[in-house]
Amino acid sequence: MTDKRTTRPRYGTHAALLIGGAVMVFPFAWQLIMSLSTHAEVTSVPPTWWPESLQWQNYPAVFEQIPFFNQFLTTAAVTVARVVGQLLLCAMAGYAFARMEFRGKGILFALVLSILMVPYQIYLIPQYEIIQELGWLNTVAGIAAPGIFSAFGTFLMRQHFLGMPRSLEEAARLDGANPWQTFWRIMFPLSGPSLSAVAILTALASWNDLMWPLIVATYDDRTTLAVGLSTMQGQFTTDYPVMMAASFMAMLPLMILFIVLQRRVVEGLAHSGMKG
Amino acid sequence: MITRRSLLGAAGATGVALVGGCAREPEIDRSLEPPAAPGDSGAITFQIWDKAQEPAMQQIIDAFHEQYPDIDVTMSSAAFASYFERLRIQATGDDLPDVFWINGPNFELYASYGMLQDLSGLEGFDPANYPENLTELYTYQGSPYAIPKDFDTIALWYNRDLLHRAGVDEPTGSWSWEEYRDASETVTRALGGEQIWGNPGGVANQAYIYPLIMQAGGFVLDEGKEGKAVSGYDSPGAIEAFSFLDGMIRDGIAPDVRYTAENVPSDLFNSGRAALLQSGNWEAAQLQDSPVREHLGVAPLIHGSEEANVIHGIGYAMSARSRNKPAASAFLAFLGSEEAHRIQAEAGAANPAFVGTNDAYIEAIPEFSLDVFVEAAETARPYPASQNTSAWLQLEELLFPKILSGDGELEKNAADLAMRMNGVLADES
Amino acid sequence: MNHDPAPLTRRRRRGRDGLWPLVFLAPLMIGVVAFYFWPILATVLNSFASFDPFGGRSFAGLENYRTLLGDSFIPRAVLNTAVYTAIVLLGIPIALVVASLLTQKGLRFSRFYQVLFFLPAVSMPVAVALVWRMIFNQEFGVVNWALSVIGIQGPYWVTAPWWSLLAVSVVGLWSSLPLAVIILSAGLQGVPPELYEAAQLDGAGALKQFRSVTVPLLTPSIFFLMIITAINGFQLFDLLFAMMGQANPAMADTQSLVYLFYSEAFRQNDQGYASVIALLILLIIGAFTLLQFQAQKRWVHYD
Repeated sequence: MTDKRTTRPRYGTHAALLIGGAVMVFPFAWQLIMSLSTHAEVTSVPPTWWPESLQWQNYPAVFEQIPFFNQFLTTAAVTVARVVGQLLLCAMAGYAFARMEFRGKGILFALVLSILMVPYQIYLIPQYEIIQELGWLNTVAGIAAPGIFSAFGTFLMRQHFLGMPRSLEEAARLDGANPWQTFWRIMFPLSGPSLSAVAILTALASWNDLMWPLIVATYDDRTTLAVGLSTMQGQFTTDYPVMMAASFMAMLPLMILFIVLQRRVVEGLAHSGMKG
Repeated sequence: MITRRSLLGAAGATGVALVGGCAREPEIDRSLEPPAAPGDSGAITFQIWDKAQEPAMQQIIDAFHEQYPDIDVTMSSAAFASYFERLRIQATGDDLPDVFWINGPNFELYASYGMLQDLSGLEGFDPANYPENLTELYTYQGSPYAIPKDFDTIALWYNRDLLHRAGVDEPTGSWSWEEYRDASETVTRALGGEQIWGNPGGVANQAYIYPLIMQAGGFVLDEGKEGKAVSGYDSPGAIEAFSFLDGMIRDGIAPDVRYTAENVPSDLFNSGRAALLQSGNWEAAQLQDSPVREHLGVAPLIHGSEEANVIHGIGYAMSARSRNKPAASAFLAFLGSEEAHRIQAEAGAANPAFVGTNDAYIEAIPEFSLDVFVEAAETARPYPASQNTSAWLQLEELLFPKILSGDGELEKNAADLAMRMNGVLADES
Repeated sequence: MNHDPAPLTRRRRRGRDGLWPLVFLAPLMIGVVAFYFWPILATVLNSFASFDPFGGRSFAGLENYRTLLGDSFIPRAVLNTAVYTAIVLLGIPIALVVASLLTQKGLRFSRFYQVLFFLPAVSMPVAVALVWRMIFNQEFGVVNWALSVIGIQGPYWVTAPWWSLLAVSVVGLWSSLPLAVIILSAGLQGVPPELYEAAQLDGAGALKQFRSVTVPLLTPSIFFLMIITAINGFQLFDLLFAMMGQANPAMADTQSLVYLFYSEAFRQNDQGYASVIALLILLIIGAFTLLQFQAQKRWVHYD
């Protein structure tokens, strides 16, 4: 801050960022306003920028339309299961791809990455059959299972381990640690930022996923919030304000998590560029 | 945690399914076991698609519980938009709910592939209790596979206040197409400045396009040569009906399809922004909470060169692979009973199919003269359906709006729909 | 799980790490094989099969492939998908500008601005599509209100052909921008300040520094973003589905390839033909990705 160049206020930069930022958050702000409006205000011409009186009752009304609390718990449980499972499995596999030598490594890695190129719809029916065979329909395990195995997470963790200095492992090896010990005691604990990045991306994907839970979890009180929102939309008349209130409540937890973890996420994605 | 063995086992099982295909069919027991006795215990699942009817269905379950205290019924509801997608995946995975709602478009598909339980011997179920055109809808190769739950017919909803302000007399009987068009035009011209339409347009099939095509002497689906059904969307009657709707859009009498895709016709009517709405009795549940409800009335459906109404109703079906048929039979028989139909009627949830219980429905929503819908049932034609109806319904959904889009190629687009639909029909077994 | 290191003899034969790669990879690979590789293989097999709606199948040879060649929806869907992907890819240069503004040294409120630009990343597609639908509403939407202020009668953004594709693409760009900004910000923060100082000594201005120092160092991140953005773009479905809704006259002209796949597999009940469409999508994405990997040698700098 003592540098002369940086103390001069940069009005142009601030103006550009403010306008751009306003465009980016406008849909959320608009959603919040609509959630506190009446149906007539939501559809008025010209738009009603601020409701005449704030319709707070739209929020409790959500609980009458969907079992919000149950769906929230299910969504949270699925998200935690997917995040924890993915962090462990992807870190292990990413470490193997980054640091170990074995035959067919390149091909196997390319195959794993190829999963990303396939539209998810084609996995739906075979995955459903597996979950059904396991007796996991309508369970947290069933909703979470396929998402635990992530090609993208593996890729990010591999990039991360590629970027770490080898000297740490050499030291551990000289101390007689086997690869698991090296990984678990030294490399894994040093991966905080990358793990946060994988965690937040997984949490987002899990929290917002619609099609898969819609198919494996058929009971209203055992499914996720995204499915709950979609059932609200499927009614004859859509009650926009209550819908907006429900959406806002459904998104809020992740917004908070994201804002709290923001700095670590940026750090964690620093090494995500495609290497070799 | 996921064990390696269970996963490999599962992968193996799907592998067998791939190679085996239909081979697993013969294993299932198709016989209908006698219903459970009141003291028996069990647990069954029940799947529906209309959230608005959940309370009425729950009341029926509670009444069932009084007779069968130890049979648990777990109800789940899915949005209609994804209901049949989900149901088909459940059927593919041999995991259909024990008892579930089915509709006309999907009935034959499930019945013909052995997914539904033949209800011929179901104790306490007598087809004579329901209107014939409904039991027919749920009969496949001579046997009943679902119990009629309710029925919908079409009539003309109107907003007295808006008609009055535009100087149009309320309909007292069935209007002709011309009268309907003239009334719509008068209202739109008089009140268009307030963004009020005579009729709110739209591309509804059962409520709007099917009856009009039939009234013009056309057809949606007909028996063709060699037993394959053929599409009627390129028939003169269909073109006449499409042109009638297209004409009103072109002349600015009704909103165009780009507008109605954003502003659902029933929402426009519901909020007092349209004077006329040709639709079914299912609107009643929403309209009784409408801000304009005291102005609303119901008149018989409009007519063209012919009179034609379309009847459709939901059915209750049982999975042929239910693991608890006695409990499912007991519940299904109860769902079909006069008592259950009376419960849903009194809740105003749906117009019951059980003959003689309609009065309870008409009285449940006294502000509208719903008897118009009940009377229409007697002469209404069955809802058009074939084996893979959902496939051509999707084509309708895609191409009806295009036909009425005013792009100047109405006949070409209608012919395109007919051609694609015939392709689907030719693939049916 | 077996943690014992392999005997020495086998270890030598299998390479320096012995059975350890197996230990580290097996947990992931079991799931990957069952939940991903197997379905892909099944799709390939299914493309040669004719299906009944409940999974029963029989061999159909190349029938489904012939259907693909005669399907008039396909060319338009390929075009729509490509246009969408191209528009969403435009987000990368935009993100680069935003990221370089955000990461200026000593910029006040930069955390606050970051929150503004990152927030769409947490949006739930089902929820946000509905908001956008209302923002783009022809009658009471904010966009057309803004246009009317400057005297322009706005189009039907969601229900007219081409406009609908543009509206969906704008929302796609909006929702993919945050990740691009995050990744590029992270990359920019990793640029050693000495490099700028050296460039300054050489007399390079701000723009020149940006072009000759910043961009080359970011090429690996840009390349990574191009790959994932294109892959996601070619898989357009959820947003289109949620924003367009039903009874939409523009749908027939706005369908994406994955939307066609979905219609065939889940609405038309034709899994065999749907599998062929899925393979076409896979082929297009694969070819495009391969092309990008070939081209990267010319413009991506690692080091």
